[in-house]
Amino acid sequence: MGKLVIFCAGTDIGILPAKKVTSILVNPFDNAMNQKAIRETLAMFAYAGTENRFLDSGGYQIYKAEEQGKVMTFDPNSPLIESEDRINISPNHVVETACQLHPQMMTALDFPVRKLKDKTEREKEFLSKLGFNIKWATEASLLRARHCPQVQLFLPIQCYDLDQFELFKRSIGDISYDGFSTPLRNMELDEIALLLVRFYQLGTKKVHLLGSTSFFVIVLSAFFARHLFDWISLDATSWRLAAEKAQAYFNPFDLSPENLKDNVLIDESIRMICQCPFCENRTFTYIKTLPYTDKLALLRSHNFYVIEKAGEDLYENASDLLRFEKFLRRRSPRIKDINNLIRCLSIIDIYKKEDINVLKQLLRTDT
Amino acid sequence: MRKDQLMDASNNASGIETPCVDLASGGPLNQVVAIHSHQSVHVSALQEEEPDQPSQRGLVDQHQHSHAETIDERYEDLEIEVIRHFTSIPDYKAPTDSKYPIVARTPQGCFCLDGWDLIESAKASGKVSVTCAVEYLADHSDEELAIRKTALRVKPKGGIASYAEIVRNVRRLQEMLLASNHDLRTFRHGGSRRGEEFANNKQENVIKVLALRLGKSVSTTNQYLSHARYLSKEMLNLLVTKEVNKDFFEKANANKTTALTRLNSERKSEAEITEQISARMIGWLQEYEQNKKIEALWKEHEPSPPGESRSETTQDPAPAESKEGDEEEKEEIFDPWRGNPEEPENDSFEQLKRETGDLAKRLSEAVTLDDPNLLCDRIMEETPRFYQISLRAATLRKMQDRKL
Repeated sequence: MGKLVIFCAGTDIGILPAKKVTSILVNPFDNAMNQKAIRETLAMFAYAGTENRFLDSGGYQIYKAEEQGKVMTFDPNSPLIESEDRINISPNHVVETACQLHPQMMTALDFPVRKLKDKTEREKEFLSKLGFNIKWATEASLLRARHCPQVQLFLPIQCYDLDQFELFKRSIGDISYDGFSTPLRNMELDEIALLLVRFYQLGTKKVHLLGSTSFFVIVLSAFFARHLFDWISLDATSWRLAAEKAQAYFNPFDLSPENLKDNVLIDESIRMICQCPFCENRTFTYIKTLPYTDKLALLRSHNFYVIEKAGEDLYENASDLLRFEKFLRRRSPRIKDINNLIRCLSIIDIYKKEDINVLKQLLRTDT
Repeated sequence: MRKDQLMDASNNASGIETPCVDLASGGPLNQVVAIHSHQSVHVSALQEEEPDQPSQRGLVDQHQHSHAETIDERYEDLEIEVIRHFTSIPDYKAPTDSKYPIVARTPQGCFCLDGWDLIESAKASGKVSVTCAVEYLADHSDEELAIRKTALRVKPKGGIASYAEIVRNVRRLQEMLLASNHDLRTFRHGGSRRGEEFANNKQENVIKVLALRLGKSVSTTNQYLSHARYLSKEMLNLLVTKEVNKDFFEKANANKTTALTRLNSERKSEAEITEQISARMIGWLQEYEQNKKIEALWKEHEPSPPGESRSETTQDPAPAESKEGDEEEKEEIFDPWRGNPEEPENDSFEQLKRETGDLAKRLSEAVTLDDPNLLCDRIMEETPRFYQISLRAATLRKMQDRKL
């Protein structure tokens, strides 16, 4: 029985969602660009009593930089840069940041594959990034061993399917690492499940899923944490972005967003169902009519609280599939998705040690 | 000179008994109107007066008054013909909230500053006079009239309150309205005219009333309430006494938000939160009084600076708070998912038997059809179902054993 940990990402000292935030994910660009930022990040860890500190590599910023057509350099001898038209980062910068922020975990620098649909385009994209990802994973492993061996290293998996993953895995040889981290932007739920099973088959004990805390991803993670891994962690900024961009209030049951903008009509008879410390004994109108900054603060706090709580509850109820299914049916109205997921988890439960291709066929994914 | 003497002097100067009411004497407005609405005052003598000549009416000694000073205020019936439309400042688009045209009376005549539409409508209905709210000025200048016309809808009639007073009073008013048994619609005063509809929601309606009646936007009203939130009455009174400004409230609010997140996390009650935030406010006020700054709460936890600087770069990552204003105008209906689907009934042997039979039937059909692909597909499809049935069977078996 492993651990399921949900990291609070995209935060800073001014917008922490709670007094105590046990797990925080930071990155070099947002949290260690200069001495002031480093001081503030360390102060944030101290103030929030953070126990799990995860250093992401800045791959997401590279992803955005590529999308925005910025000049991208990977020069370890130049400073870390993220400006309007340029970005510079290397594995050295990431490891150096780790030495300053003292995280327990870090992910190696990666060059993310873009979101593409066409199979040929995907193959090209994967191959164009593969060289960087092999080189950076190898460098990160060596630098970690030399400068911060106490920090666990997660290797990011930038691929679209299992074959590509196998190629990457073969290419990095037997470098030292502690787990894999994988972005979810290119994957459906059953594809994520299949990749996780493959990690399991390869003897991986720890996995970090980057950038998603959607309800069903937490459901899947809870099951894998409970039955297959020592550690599964997730991170996301949705708690903040949903609050700030859409004034969204996450439903405490299935984390679906509810709009609480000023122009929404709220009937006084609607009961507040959330028992989080930020909503308890309050009404939706109270939240809706709060001044903008107060409202955002409350929504951020509530949203993160219910994400964390959903993780705890799901993990607690993932002990067996029958109980899990019942629990999910109480939490979410998406019966079809629940049925599909339970089917998928049943197959995994039976065939997790079988040839991955058999499993792939059974799950009927294109991965 | 006392105000009643001024009034007498004025009446004598115009040569008639001018019915008027000193606004300072108080009393409900409708009573004033009931008594005086059919009488009028002739002001032709005033119009002929040269602006640079000393007053012949003994109204006031103009040398004792500046352009800006109002020497008297009354409700008077004025002949429509003598009221001039002051247009150096254009009329306001929205009609005046005042029940009567607002007129400035100077030695040069009577000038309508607001409510010209009321005068026009009185004229159209054949009236020769109209009751006006008249401000007496000892001297005349177009600039002063322009200032007054502009100020009418900018500066509150009673003068300016301190920010702390506004915050305190709006909060008290909110409490009173929330506790009130009156239908809030009776307080809305012009709200419906502007298309503001009341919802089935008292809290929200109170804010609407506050915004409408105080002439502020909902967000400004909410800002006042936010600044008063979790401050005790004593603390609000202290802030009023100290005449603290908006800047203090804004700076303190940043820390208040941080403190609130902490206190809420600890599930403190509203009373405890109020007590603690109010206590903190005193410290923040002292800090602000010293250097106009308030140290962020979290700085208490800032560690001593780490070793050498690593990078020469540059940009401090600024928290990107998205701004208001890009909201859609469209009204949406809040429709949260509130209920959970009914819990499925407890599993039974009969149910298990039925589902196993169905499964067997489906597999048997695939066998009969003698299609290898179909059979393989069917087996793969049914395997997880069979697995789930087997899990349920194990659970039922366990329950059975327990009963025995």
